Amino acid sequence: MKGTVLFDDGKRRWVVFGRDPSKGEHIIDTNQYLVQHEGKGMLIDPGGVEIFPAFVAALSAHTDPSQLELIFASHQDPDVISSLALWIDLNPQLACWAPWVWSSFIPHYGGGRPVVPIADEGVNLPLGGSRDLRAVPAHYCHSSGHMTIFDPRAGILFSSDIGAALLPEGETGFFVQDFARHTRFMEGFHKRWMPSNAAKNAWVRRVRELPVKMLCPQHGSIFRGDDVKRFLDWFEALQVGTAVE
Amino acid sequence: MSPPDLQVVDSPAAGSPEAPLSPPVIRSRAVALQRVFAPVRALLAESGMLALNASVACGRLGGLGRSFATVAGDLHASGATLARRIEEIEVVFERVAVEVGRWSRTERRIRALQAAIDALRGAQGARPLGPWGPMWLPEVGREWRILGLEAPVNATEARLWAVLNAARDELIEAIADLQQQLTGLERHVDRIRWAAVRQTRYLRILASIEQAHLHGQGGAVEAVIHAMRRLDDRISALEEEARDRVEKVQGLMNSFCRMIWPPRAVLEAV
Repeated sequence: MKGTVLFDDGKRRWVVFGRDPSKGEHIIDTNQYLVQHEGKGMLIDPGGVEIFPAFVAALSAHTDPSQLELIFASHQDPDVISSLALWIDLNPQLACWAPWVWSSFIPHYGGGRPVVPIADEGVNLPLGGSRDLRAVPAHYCHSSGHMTIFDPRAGILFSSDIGAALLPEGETGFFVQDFARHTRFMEGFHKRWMPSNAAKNAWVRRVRELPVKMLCPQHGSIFRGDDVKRFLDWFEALQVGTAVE
Repeated sequence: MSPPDLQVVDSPAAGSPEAPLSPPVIRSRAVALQRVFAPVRALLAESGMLALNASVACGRLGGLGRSFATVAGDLHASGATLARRIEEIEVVFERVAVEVGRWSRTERRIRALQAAIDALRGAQGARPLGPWGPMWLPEVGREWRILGLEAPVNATEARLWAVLNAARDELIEAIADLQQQLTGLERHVDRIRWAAVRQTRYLRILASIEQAHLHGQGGAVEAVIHAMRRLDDRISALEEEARDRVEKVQGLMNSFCRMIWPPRAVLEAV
């Protein structure tokens, strides 16, 4: 599994992990993120049990699991958080934060401890003494309890399944290179997985107010610079919940 | 010394899904035992009806049926005992299911942890663990030195070993507890036999003696005795099948445990 540093100002650091060549083709590719502040870490959507070995191996090049403080689960899906019990095994001090809607469902993945529920309106996440990482609501995009994260320091928006793409084989880069071409890999996903135009547009309005430099989805490629606005425009115009006639 | 070298003493088929000694086969057969016992509940209901019929027969016989009333009372008592025995065995089945679940869950954890150690060592250019057969269960995660590996490559690997050790201990505990529960099942089958088969048989003989004293007036009693005989046969058949299945699963479990806990001498030789 590859790990690429997205941002590093000496205090705050973002690393994306993914594109694991050893992953079975029957498993959807996922991006996992590590955010560090003053050396303390948060895993964002650390993924499923199947990718745990490769992720631990790649992560250990960047941090020691004992330095992790929290796990953030944007929603309840197995590709997001089914490895929870294994992470708690590695570091029993880890706290898992997730939308309250799923706080009693996610413990079914194991770990033997409660999840810290995030209220519908979002919350500022505590990491390494900082409190500026903001959980931004994205309910019904696609899950009924769904959170994205904005980091004002890095200008990074973790967008979870929003902006996700099902990339063809051979697409191993982390960043979108050709936005127009990339929409082909996103369209079907968003039409089928996103159920509500109203919810989608509410999230777009919310995000347009944020100074986003990089939009990082859980699947597919990362949007940088002008591609962030291109994506928001494209997403706003897309009619979702229409894949099944 | 390395895990692949150690594997030469392992049964090559032991880890395959088809092998009778594979953990999934043992686990599914252990859980399936509950289904063998399921009809005993229906038989218990029949036993209750039989006791009721016996009481009705007593009533019809009036004064003549007084001695048969003892049999009817004993039938009621026998049904109550059988009900208790069934409750006891259901508790055992619950524990079997819990241990099977724990075994399966912990095995998956161990597999993920081993794979994580392998991936981490691979990423650092160190020698991986390689595949392990179930025989090496007691050694899983015990000590990287035993496996002839160089020291953990970093703090993450050291932590993974510690977690693997804890998971290994839990796995061994789950297997030992399951073995204990399965051993206890035989005792429970014996108690069911005592409660159901032997008591029904004894009461049937008693009822036949009482019928003889009725000098041809005990048609209703005869019907009860006939029903008792049928119930007795069905309980016997059930008990026989259950005993057979329990013994088979116990045999599998014991063989598996012998395989994963080989004599110390074998371990020391390699």
